[in-house]
Amino acid sequence: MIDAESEIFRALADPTRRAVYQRLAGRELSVSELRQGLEISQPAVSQHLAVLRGAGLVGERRQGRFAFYRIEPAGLAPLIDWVARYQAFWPERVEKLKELLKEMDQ
Amino acid sequence: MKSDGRKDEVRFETELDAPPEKVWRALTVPEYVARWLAPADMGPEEGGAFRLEGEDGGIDCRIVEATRPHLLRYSWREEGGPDSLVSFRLAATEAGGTRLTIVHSGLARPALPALRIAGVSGCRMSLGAKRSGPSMIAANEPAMAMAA
Repeated sequence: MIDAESEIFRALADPTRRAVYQRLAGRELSVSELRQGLEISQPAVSQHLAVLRGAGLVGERRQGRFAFYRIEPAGLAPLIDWVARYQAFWPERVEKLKELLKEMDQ
Repeated sequence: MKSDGRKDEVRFETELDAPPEKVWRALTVPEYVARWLAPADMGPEEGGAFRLEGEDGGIDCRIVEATRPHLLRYSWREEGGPDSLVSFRLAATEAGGTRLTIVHSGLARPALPALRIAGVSGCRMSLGAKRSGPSMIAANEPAMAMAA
């Protein structure tokens, strides 16, 4: 498994981080806006955002002393590629299985 | 697990020219598994752990269900990946062969809500791309978000 994928899984494995990510769905928010409705401190939100940004899932835009966060839709591409890889993997393996079955004793 | 278009499941169905009992051996005897899937130290006992030596690293597996020669199910965990589940269903065909259904589920489970969101965000992104150019609009957006 390549690093980008495992980083995405790591980033989204945490329920709070997933909640942060979901709150950004369809809109751009500041840290304080993000915090509303989540029972966590502002530094904790910032820390989760840092992990999400590190995994390429969330983007930051700075305007003056404000920072706004949004989802990076392209960030999940490695994950979708990974599922697609398994879509190709099993049919390939089954071809090998068919060859093996021909060679096996009954 | 139903296949309702969720992106974390891969399903593959095929007909094999061998009876289920023979296909079962191909799926469970290590020397056969090595020839079509990967070198493995597996046994067919439920609860038994084994490791597949994949081309891109090891895959840790544990047999969840083994009902000879109908159903084999094991967990599948690639290094750094989520806990997924592979199931092999074997059904005898009238022609004396086997209908094999492979379902590999849970491939992206931790990221599933994110995938759904990305579908929505993807639309927004393409809309945004069409009106690229006037960066003034983009500059106004945070003000709207703050007012909301």
